[in-house]
Amino acid sequence: MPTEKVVGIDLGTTNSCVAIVEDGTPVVIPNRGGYKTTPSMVAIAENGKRLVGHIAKRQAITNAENTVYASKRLIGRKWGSAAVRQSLETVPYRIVEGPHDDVRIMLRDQVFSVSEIAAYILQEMKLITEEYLGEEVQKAVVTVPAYFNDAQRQATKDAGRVAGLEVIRIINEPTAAALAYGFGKTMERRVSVYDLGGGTFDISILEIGNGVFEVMSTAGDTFLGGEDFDRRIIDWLVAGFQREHKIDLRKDKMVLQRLKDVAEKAKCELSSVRETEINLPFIISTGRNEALHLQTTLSREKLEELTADLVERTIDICARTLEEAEISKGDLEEVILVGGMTRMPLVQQRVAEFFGLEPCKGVHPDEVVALGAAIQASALTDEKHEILLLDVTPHSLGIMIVGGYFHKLIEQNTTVPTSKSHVFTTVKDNQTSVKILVLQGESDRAEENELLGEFVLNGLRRAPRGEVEIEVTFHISADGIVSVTARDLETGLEQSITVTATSGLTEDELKKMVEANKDYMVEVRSGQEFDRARHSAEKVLDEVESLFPRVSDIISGSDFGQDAVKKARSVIERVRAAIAHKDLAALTEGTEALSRTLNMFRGVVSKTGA
Amino acid sequence: MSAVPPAIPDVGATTQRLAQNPRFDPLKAGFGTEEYFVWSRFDGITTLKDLILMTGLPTDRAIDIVRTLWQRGAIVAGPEPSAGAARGTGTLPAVSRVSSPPPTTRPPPVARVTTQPAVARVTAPPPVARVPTPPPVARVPTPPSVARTTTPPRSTMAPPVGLRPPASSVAPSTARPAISPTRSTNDETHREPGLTVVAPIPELTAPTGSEQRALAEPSAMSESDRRRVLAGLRLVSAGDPWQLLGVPRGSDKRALKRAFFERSKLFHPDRYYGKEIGAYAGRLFTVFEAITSAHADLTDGGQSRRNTGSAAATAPQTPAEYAAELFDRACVAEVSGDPPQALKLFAAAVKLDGQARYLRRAAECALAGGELRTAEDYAKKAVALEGSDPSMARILGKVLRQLGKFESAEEVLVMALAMKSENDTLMRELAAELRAVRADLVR
Repeated sequence: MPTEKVVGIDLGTTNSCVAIVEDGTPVVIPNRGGYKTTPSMVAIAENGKRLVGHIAKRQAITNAENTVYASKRLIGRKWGSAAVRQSLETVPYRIVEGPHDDVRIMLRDQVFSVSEIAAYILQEMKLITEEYLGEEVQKAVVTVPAYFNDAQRQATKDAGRVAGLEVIRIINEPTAAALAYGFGKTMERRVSVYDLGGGTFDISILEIGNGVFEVMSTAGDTFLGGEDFDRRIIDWLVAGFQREHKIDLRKDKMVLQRLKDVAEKAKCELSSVRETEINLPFIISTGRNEALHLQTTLSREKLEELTADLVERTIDICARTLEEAEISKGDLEEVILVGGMTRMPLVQQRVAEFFGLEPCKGVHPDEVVALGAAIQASALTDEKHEILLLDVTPHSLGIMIVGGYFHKLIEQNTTVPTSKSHVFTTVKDNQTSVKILVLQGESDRAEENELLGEFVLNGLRRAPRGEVEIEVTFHISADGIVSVTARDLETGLEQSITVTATSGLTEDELKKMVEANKDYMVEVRSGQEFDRARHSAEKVLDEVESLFPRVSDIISGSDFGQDAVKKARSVIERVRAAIAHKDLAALTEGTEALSRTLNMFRGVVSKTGA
Repeated sequence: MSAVPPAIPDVGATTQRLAQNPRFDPLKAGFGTEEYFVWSRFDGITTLKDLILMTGLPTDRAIDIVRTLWQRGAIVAGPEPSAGAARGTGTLPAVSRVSSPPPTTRPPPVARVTTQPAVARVTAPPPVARVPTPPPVARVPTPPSVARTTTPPRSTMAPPVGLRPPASSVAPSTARPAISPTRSTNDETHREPGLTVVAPIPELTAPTGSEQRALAEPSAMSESDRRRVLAGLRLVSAGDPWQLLGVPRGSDKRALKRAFFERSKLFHPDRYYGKEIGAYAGRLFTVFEAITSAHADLTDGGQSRRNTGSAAATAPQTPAEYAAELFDRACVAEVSGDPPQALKLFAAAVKLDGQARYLRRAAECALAGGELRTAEDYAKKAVALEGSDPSMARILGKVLRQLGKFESAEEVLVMALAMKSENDTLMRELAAELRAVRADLVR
């Protein structure tokens, strides 16, 4: 049986690209038009026909309300998220709220999930490959930005399924770029991947060691890319025309479409020539049966002047990323440029200046990510591979504990596969079940993180709170699949889930859940905590109270003495109240303050030597 | 809405590809803007049907315009569609595939735009604002061979310039003989090869009963790989992270990373992706996980301490002495304007010896660096230790105020002031801080 073909797909914000490894060489597969990339655009035409790729792009402005672009910014996002808010304001197509706090897109009265839109693009890439190979393709490695969380990755996988592709692995775009860059070379190097694409900017630092690739740090801006550069050119053209003819070109969609086409073309040309003519005959009618033409020259200098601040923004992000990762520029040995925008000489120049390195010219910015995905596909399925990708968890994972806090079990950037266990305990007397809420994120508060799934462990022994011990184990496989098991240590009873579905609950809903599930909560077992805390609090309390009369005599005469006595009283009351309410957090806090009071009391007493 | 018909009267089938007529002079045509827009879409690549759809105009209107353009000679039949351009023909597209170019071939760079001078001419606008066909310079070169080689004899490697033989002076005498083959062929490494040597996984000698049973289990894994996994498990249970990674005790971060990478290649589950390896999947996972945590522990846990390990060998230090040294170095780093480094050193010092003085300085440093949580942690510990020392209270008060915990800050400061110190400057500072806190409280 011949080995099954597995393709690598770069599902980009503005363009997508598909590649495959053939006879040991990764190659990009051109589409029907002969282009190696396909616009990530989906539209519904006036007659209801679905348009994907170049065709969708060419009508994007005249049919703006029914043309989806940059859907990647929405995939796997919650309706309430900042990215969705921002998209709502900037895109011409209709974004509506889905039934699970998710995002849907409405085109000509038809509602699509974002995964469906992505599926149409993946389907197109699948077709391109099948035409080229003359055989069916069923499996793919798909790339996503490094910061994508589990929900976004899962939504991307779902898109694959809808498109009839089994996504055997999701990998990070910068990793893919490094994979293509390092393929077939033996080297040990720390490299930076600067990725300025059509819609997003990413910067990542990777370590490459003889065929092993590891991501160290990554950051970016999801709203900065080539489209912003195009917009600057359009603005400039429109302003020039306005000055000359007193006509606002923006009012006509057809004109805007032509301007967009020509701006993108001029931008690309200026990467290799110093100036280009922009020529749009009959751009608009004056209304007096006379047509006007737009003819002008755009120089590279002018373009750089129009867009310098955009380039600087990327450099600022690079600087911040290096600083946060505590990596000095001197540690980096190569800068890999990814994304069509990195062809711009100004970008190359600023990157070279910033890193003090001439950017690597060996990789093709538009194709490198897809090539890397193809290499990973072949590394997984081909016996003779020499490549290993060490992936990390993009965000921390853990469960919700009593009080609505988030207890992390697996930290961000942990190499996968990995597993981690922790013992928790019940919070109520005779609590017979616990609910495990699996969360992903970095906040201490549960509701500020992403809920990945939940399950209940029933049949616990009736016992005073804190006595039943439940061990929770997280496991992440090499494919990034998270499974969680909760086990009653006494009975061996266990319950587990594999996190697959994205739930998409709102913060409010989560808050309500925190409230509703109070009786089913677990708490960190780091001691039968409350009892222990009360015990130590009471000891301190006793001593403070015994010293109180003497201290109060000594200090009440001084400026701050009265104040201090008052404060000490309120601290004592706080601790008593915390004990009465069994409020562990307040008790911990109060005991801390009480210990300080005790220290002060002792100090006062010892000084006066009484 | 209406569907695009298979053919348009006069013009013909909508599956054909039409292009702009280069001999047509648009300046004299006197069309309306819609006609010009539709005309600007003709590129010789898009089928008439798709083109009508993508104009965004009602289909009937678009068809009318196409007919007008056709009748006026503005558009003509385009170039013959290339064999593969039509979907489903099964033939290759126009851009032919290059399945395996010779590894060294790198076509010269192609200046993209210079090949299309016509772009600027009104009479013959370019077909499409296309994503430029990329120059072929960037093909990832074919590797000479991707076959996995296993420890070939070193002498067979033709060492490229700059390769350091293992027996050179820098290689420690303790270096083990075997080394991963990839490094020997390394012609691009900037880093010093030969400095670190990752020990091979030892042979599985004299397998125990359970190991013998494991070797007999059904699994798609080869005999030698099974033995290696079992030998790996032995290393894991031996519990020595250095040995597990195969590097000499005290190796630096770079050597550890290299060892981690080499070991990962052997034990990462992806090596057996899609294979039915049975119980070996769990064993592999156990070894890999142990390798990652060994690497993490040795890299993060008290790295700074290990770096001075050689010095410690000649002049033994107690943890307290070492903490004092770290503390001094931290103070130096702080005054010489490297607060992040200072904070790291302070952190290491208080870890070894959590005395109040160290904690206070660490808290001040963290506060200055905006690491408020860390500062709070240190300051609270300092106050817990030396509560009768108002200077500890001062830093805690400051930190709490920065954190916006004004009431706690007030309490801490009042208590400290009530204690009365002979140090008037300190008292004045405390009083000033208290005023600031109370002002914040009022707000």
